Amino acid sequence: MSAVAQARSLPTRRGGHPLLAFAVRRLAAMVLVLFAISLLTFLIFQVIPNGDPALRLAGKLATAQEIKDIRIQWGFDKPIWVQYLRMMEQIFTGKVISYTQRVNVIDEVGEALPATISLTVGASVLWLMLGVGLGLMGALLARGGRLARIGDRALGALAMTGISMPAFLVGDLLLFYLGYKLRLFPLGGYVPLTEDPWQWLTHMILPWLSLTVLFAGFYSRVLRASILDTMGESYVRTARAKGISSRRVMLAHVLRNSLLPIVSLWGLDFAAVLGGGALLTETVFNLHGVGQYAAESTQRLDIPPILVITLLTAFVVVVLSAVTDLLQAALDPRVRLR
Amino acid sequence: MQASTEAQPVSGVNMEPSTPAQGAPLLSVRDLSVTFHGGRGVVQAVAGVSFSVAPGEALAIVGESGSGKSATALSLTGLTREAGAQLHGSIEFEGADLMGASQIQLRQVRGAGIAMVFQDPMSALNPVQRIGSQIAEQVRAHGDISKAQAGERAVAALQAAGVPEPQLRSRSYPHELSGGMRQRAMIAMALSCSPRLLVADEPTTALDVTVQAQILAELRRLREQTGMAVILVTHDLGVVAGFADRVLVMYAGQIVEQGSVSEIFADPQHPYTWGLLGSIADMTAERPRRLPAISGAPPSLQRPPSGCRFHPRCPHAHEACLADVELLSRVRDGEHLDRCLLEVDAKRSLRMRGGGIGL
Amino acid sequence: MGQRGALRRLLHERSAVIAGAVLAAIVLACLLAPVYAGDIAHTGPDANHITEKITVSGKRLEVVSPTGVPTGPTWTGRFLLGADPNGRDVAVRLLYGGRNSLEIAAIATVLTIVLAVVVALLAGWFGGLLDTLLSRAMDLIWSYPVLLLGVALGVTLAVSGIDLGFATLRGGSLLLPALIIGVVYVPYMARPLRAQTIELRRREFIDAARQQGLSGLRIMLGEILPNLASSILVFTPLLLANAILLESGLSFLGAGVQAPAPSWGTMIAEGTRLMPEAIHLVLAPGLMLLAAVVSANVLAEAARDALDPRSQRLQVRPTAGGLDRGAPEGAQDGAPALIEGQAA
Repeated sequence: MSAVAQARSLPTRRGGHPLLAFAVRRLAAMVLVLFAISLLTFLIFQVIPNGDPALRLAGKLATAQEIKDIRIQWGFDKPIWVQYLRMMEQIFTGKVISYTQRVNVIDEVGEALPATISLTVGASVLWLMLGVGLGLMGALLARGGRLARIGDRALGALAMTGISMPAFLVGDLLLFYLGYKLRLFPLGGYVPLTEDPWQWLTHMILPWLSLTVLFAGFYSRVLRASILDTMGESYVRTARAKGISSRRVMLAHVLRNSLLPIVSLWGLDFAAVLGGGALLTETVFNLHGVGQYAAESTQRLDIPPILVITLLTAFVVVVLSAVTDLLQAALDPRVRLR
Repeated sequence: MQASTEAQPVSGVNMEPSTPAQGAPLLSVRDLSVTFHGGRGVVQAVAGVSFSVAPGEALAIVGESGSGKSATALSLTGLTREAGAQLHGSIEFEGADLMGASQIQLRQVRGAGIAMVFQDPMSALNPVQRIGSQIAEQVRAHGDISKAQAGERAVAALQAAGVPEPQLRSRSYPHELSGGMRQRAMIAMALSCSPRLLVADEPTTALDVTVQAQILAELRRLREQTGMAVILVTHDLGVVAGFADRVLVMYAGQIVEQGSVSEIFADPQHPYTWGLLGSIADMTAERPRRLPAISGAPPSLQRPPSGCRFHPRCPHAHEACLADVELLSRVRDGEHLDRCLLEVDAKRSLRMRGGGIGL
Repeated sequence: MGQRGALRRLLHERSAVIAGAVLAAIVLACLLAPVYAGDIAHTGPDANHITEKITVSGKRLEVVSPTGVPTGPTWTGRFLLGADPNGRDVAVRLLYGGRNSLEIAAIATVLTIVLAVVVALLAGWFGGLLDTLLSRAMDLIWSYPVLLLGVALGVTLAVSGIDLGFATLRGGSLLLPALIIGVVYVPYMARPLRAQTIELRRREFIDAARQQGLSGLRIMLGEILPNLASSILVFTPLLLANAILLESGLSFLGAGVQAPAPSWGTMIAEGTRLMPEAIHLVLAPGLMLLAAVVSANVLAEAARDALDPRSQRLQVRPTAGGLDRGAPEGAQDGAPALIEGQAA
């Protein structure tokens, strides 16, 4: 093998910083996604007739003149694209006002964020740990004897139940049995961490558990499958042929590689919940988070908060998927940043 | 290419007894069978194989895929155990029984006593771990030394295996190296603990033809340098000629012929061996000829044919081949054994095909 | 892989048979709702018995107490699973609600499959600009939070109804949630099918068909579609499960089935409001829903295992031949379970 051929196969760093190029590409993609999503949301509510927003703003007792004034004042008489631009301008200057509550939407979302962040951080750590634990256990049991395989099937059934549960049913059952019957936890609501850490914790445990029930099962199945695939890999056989302990083979070679698909999964689920995707859980536990705000706003046909929240979700998802990709690239040298 | 003397045995890890008696084989396999219980029934991959390897000897195990040669090689250090295989027979390495050995005892042999090189270095190396640390991991498993020292040993092992710029390569990931370099890294890993026996399972099959020769030359050089014994598992008799001292030809889980390299090449006894020899391209011939293939397909290992397992594919098969055929010395008293019932003289005339040996 | 062999493997898998039986039993029970209502419960799904009293094992019971708490399960013909706050028979509403939930899920599933197959074939076969456009549209729908999109569509459409040109759906129509669910899950199925179509297009037998002068449409329908069949088969129960879940979520948030029509989702939502006193209002529809979704998911998993032997990890043991070669490359790319689609 000539030295030239060798040199060619070494990684080279040409053409500027790959990280910078990555950041630029992702930023451009983010702008596009945000634009497309805002347009889609706006169109859903504009193209499909759902009643006059001026009527909702004016209230039930308004006169015809008042409604007309509002229509002109809020620009509902302008062409759709003007209305869209106006709305986007308001959103990005932080001056967007709810149609039904007449409050600043950005402020409302800001107030809802702590609850949603509390939910996301706690629940995602819990479901990841439980999912990895159960997945590892399942994979080990699957390769064991007859009794062990029965254990694996039981874990599989448990995971399948979790995957199949509707979120609000999980919430309801937890609230009823652990909250109402056993009186272990409060029946919903949110207490800020800064106000009373203990109360914050007791209020958050059931919502965390609820999301964990929904996600951990799926994670455990993905990881189990990934581990069983990895165990068949040739490099695992190499590792065993080296004479290292089977524990080390399992942790440093099998689990290390099997966790790669879990990382991106976790990043995206984290983003979805953080962006207010947990509509049902937040509503059942009355957390007053972003998701519950989104659910309430859709029921009131209140376009501004819905737009702001969908944009927030998209933003969080795009940013976190970039972070996830960076993490993937750090964990797996074969991954190229795109 | 710089030879290195840095790959020394790690002290403190020894199998009992550490010094085999004079003349005793390094490895002795008696009546080994390997059975897999799969969803579609029981597959006997290896059916009663016996052989031994002397210290420093180079043995080649040759056969088609599915002949049981890889299963034999993997079973030596119990690597088929975890895949759900059942092993029978006995395996002794340096006088210690490996068949009944515990996982911990096996682990001490793996890498240190018997090291392995696998077919495809791309999939046989962990893609997310640096080459150097993969080698260092093995070094540390067999000796109580620091991470830094193990790293230095890894670099030395890479250098010994003919990897240029070993310091730099030890920081590389497998996908950053060429196929040949990867296999050299694999060999470096195998040699890092100075094994007494190297098992190379199709070490050149996944490589370019030009690189194949380099890797074989490297293995030959390292063997001469270190005095270790080598088992070369391959489907390619052409690879064997310049490398091995002795050859086992396997078919359908059994040894059908064994002997020294010169015996196998000059006076092959079993028609299956003829077929294998006939499929070697002769580069010295004036006109390249069309390579004949052995007709038919390897038999099912769930229900192997009775008698000589090659008889369904053998043009010279007769009634007697349906009964059990033993592996015997048929040529003259000696080490050359085979499983074919034909008369020695008949064999010598039957195997001539177009001026060369063929089926 | 022969699909006949796959069916045989599927029937040999005990969990698949049980799941199929459970699902069939649920469907059958819901279809027989009028029979149960008429001959056993002697009431209808909307019939109000709020002021009545019933006799259960000799005791007189108010259907709904003066404080508004409905009676729990009686385990007899009338009010088998108790009453709701309006004095309606929960068991009867459960079956009628199941009809609605399953009907919506079934229509949505068919809609998703049809749309996804069309999108996948067009994008995968023609490629180029059409592929780019369709793929971007799929990405856009999929990057939208599924539940939020569904709720937004559901609430607006519930107000206005929708004019599809050939048919007009009124606000309360069951077809509305079916339409919404059918559309939001299209990318989930279309993207893997498109990838498969592109892969198939490169195969020799497609080349051969083209050499024979077959038209693109003939090749798409006659050569490619049959090869997508096993994927479609795996997706069907998976989509059904997710459609049932999304319907319940939409209904729970008031964006799905509209009152007074029952569905499992609306029943759980009503029950949640009355929860501490009458947990049976949550448990009855909740467990029914869970049973349906679990069996559909189990069926999907079994179908995937049966059609894709690579994923039969439990049974796979290396054979002698398998040891000679390396481990098969590539991770399994079967249909992923859909957490996002039902996330919270």
